Amino acid sequence: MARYKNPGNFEFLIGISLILFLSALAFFAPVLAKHDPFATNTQQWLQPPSIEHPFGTDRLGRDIFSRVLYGARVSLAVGTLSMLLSVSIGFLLGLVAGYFGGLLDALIMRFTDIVLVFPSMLLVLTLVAVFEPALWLVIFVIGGTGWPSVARLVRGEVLQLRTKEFVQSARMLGANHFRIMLHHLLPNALGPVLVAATLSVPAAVMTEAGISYFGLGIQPPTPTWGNMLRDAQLYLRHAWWYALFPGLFIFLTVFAFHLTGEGLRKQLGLTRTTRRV
Amino acid sequence: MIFQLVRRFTQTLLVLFGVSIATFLTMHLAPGHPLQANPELRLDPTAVERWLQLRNLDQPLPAQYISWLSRMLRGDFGQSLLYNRPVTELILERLPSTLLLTVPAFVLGLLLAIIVGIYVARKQNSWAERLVQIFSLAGISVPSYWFGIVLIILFTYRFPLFSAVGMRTPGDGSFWDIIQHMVLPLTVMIFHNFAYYVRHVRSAVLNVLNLDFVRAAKARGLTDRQVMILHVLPNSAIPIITIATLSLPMLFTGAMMAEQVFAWPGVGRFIVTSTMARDYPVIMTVNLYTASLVAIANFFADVLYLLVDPRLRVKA
Amino acid sequence: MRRMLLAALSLVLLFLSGCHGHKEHATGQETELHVAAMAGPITLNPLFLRDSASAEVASLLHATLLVTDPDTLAPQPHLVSSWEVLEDNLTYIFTLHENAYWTDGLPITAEDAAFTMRVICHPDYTGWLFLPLQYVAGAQEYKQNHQSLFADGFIAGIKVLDEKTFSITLKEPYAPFLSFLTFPLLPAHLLSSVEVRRLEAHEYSFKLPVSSGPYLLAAWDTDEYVHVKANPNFFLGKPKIEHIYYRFVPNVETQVIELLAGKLDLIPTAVKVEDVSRLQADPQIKIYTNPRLVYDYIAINTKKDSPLQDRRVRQALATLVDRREIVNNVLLGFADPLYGPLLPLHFAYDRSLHTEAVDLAAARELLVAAGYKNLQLNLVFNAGNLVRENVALLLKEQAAKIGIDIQLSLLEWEAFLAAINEGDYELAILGRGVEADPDLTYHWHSESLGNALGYKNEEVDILLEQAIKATTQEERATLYRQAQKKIVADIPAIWLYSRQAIHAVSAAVENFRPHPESVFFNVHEWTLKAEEENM
Repeated sequence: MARYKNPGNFEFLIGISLILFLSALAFFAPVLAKHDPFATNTQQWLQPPSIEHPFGTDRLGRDIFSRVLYGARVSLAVGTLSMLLSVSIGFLLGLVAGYFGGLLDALIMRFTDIVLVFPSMLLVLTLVAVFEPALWLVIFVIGGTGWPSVARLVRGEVLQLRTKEFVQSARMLGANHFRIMLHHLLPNALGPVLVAATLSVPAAVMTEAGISYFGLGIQPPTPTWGNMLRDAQLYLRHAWWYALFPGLFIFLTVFAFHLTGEGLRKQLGLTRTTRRV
Repeated sequence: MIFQLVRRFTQTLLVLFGVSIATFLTMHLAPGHPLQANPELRLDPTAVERWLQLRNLDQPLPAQYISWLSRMLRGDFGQSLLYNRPVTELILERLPSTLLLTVPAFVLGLLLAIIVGIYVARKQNSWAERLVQIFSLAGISVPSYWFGIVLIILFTYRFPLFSAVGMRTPGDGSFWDIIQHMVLPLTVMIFHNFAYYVRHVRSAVLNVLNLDFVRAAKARGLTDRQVMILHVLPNSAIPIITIATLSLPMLFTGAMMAEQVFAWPGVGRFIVTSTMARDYPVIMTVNLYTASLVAIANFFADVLYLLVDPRLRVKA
Repeated sequence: MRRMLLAALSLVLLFLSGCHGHKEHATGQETELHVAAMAGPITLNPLFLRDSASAEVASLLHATLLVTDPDTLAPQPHLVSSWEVLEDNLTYIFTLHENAYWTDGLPITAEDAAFTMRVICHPDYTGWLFLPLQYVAGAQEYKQNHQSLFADGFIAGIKVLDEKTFSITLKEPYAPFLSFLTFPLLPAHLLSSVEVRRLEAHEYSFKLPVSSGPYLLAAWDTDEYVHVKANPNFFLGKPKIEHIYYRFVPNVETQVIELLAGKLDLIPTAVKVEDVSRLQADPQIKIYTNPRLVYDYIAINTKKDSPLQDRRVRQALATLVDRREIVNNVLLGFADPLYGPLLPLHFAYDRSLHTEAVDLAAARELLVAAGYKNLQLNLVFNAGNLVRENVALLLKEQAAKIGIDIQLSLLEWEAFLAAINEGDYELAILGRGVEADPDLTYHWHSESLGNALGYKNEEVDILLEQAIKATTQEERATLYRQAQKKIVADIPAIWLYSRQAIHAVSAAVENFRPHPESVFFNVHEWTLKAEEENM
């Protein structure tokens, strides 16, 4: 039986190269795409994959390859931006709650509980239905509902670190709260947060695709993988390429981030915590 | 410890109260109602006004919230604006179909995960372990509705073996008819649940395997099998139950997706259509129900932990 | 071990696939028809219909007072077997069919008709049917002054003459009146003791113990199907097909898969145009098409201060739209191009309004004449309708050629409605259902509630008012033609096309004759071919 010496690297490497590859596709979409993702062609609809259209065309004769590339921009933007948002909120609230404790902690954690008990898909669906869907709104809603796990994680780390000697001594030396948080707690909690951040990207990508699939997300003709899949549902029998490629790219993206996150976790020597902090 | 439980419980109640306000506000800040003027339909504006009046939807928000809350506390969740029937009734009607899918998907997915998880936990760093880990990551990365679509193309059209629509053939509804309809959605859900649980089961078992007393037991010369049954399984049971409890929101989302793709007549699809139609009482009630369910499950997960891990009792 | 599992699994699979197969068309000797529906009904109460699924099911369960002819749209007898109009053109005397019975065996009486109309005129009634009944003498007064919570008392213009006859007197002549008497009745003996405000939520709306139509409710299984059985006492004779299952299959593609698998017999109205040629090639399936009373158009918002208030800009846009391209290449011919507010089925339809010319140069000139070199406009349309999406993209491409930049905003349905209602758009692609009668008042009279575009032309108002009071069809046709010309010349909207209903039907179904407004128009005459029953 073959055994790996450092299996974390393997996952991390594959994951990160996939991410780089997908980001390159998204970034260079205008160069790589031979066709305008919006240009319709009433003669060339539902064409199977060919050299001209590597992923075929959709019902309006648009090039699916181009649309998938431009869709990558949306997915990655939603994924990373909402990750940044949720990590910032989570980090801040977790840090404050964990460091100051007391009433502030109780308030923040109850608020966290409230957000956490909603199945996020349901919450996002409700919010997006209530307001007009647009890119920023989707980012805002996904980011604004994804932070509780980060907040709890950070709070847990801070609670542990707070009692450690170096923090205690910094406090004795008269360092102010802000300084302690910034210089002592923040760097030490960074590892777990990095992993959590990486793993919140696929969740966001998945959620965005999901609500677009339900028809409530970013609206066509802006191509997103979710709304392409929604359209493709009407042509399952004769246009397998229509549903295949957008789905495949959702899978690849989510998979890439999961791999990277797992790789990071191993690399940093963190174990998965299964109980709640 | 009792003090801690009571404290946790009041916290849970507090959270539920917050949830009720949050749901109410989100829904009522939104513009529109199911009968808003539709240029494609004929509506009589004065009749619509009367319709709103009869449902107290023309009242100021705080008054609406108070009457909603007081009715809710008495167990009356109001009427669906669309169906004009009690929301609870509408949900309860659909619950059995959802459970018919969710429960087997949960049980089978978890069972499979436990078997495979234990197997690979014992064979650390083997090919099998790597395979299962990659598979598990891939499994949770597959959008379940897309997987569903692929299955529909393959097994209802290319190789028409199963039904893709609904729970039964109208007029039939025999045991085999229902099973036949369940196969595809169940496949999607079990696949996803298994992928989700197996990683957690593996690490839970692994944690126990590395504990001193397990090593000691091995050193005492117990066989692998004996160690497993006497020590590892009982001790990894609690974390596994906790994972299962905490996966409730995931199960709910899974049901929503599968029901949507396979037109399954359950709560998940109902909430999606109700959301699209702005049927506020329904959306609020489902949100509240699931949130309460999750909050209560979390509460029990905490209780379990307190019971099992004495170290936690002192903390917090 | 693993091999055993595999073997067991494949056995199960084999077994399951063996169970699967063509649905048996007959249980014993009883014939069944399985109909596809995108969604389930919301209510079975015929006075509160607000969605198409409920309306479709209602047409199976309820008989209407009158029907309109599928070809001419002229009012025809139904539950009302005959009527006469008195000299003054205000009073109508209706006689109900002598064989008309409720499904519980009681006769359908003039009192049922009077009761139903009192419900409609009651202040607590929340459906739309009061709009046509407001012309009945005393109806407004009843609506304003009636104190009781029940639909009791009297409306001055509605008189029960004997068990089977009643009269309706209008307060002023209203030519389209008969074409609006296409609503069903409620059983007074069951519902007269119910407060009108509780009627919509009354269990009658979902259990429907008593009805009058060709079929009666057998079961309504939540989110699955509605099962109806032939009504043995239907006044036109018991329907030939014993059971109809109206089954909710929310994806058109899976509907076709189920049809091909023999698990559905009828996909009404909404077969995708792309599927037609393939389905036509299948000997098991027949395709039927018929015109419908709906059309799509581009609404132009002239209420807001924008270049669109200039008629020349609107005309420039109108000259850009290539209806032939849309009808032939997007809708594959299953639509009629539309140039004005009436449909070819209407007796007052005006063929002379057709204009084929798509003239980019002329459009550009108009734009320049209006003082614009280039222009930015937004176009709102709703998600989930690929045809409209395609139309929007085509218009955008065309407009770009003359320097108009069209910003597309595609909205989810409810958000779309909100945008339309708040006037938060410049151009919008909308659909609209029109009545069997060509009366243009509802949508185009400046004071009408249904005039969503805020269209105002005093000459048109006068013509429409005259047409309502006119007594002969020729007279009305002339007036409506004049009104149409004026409306079209003002370009308050760009009419696009009227899509046909496309039905895919199992070849076993015979006598299938859909109506522009209802696929189940003659459902009591449908039969299933005998050899199919033995399959």
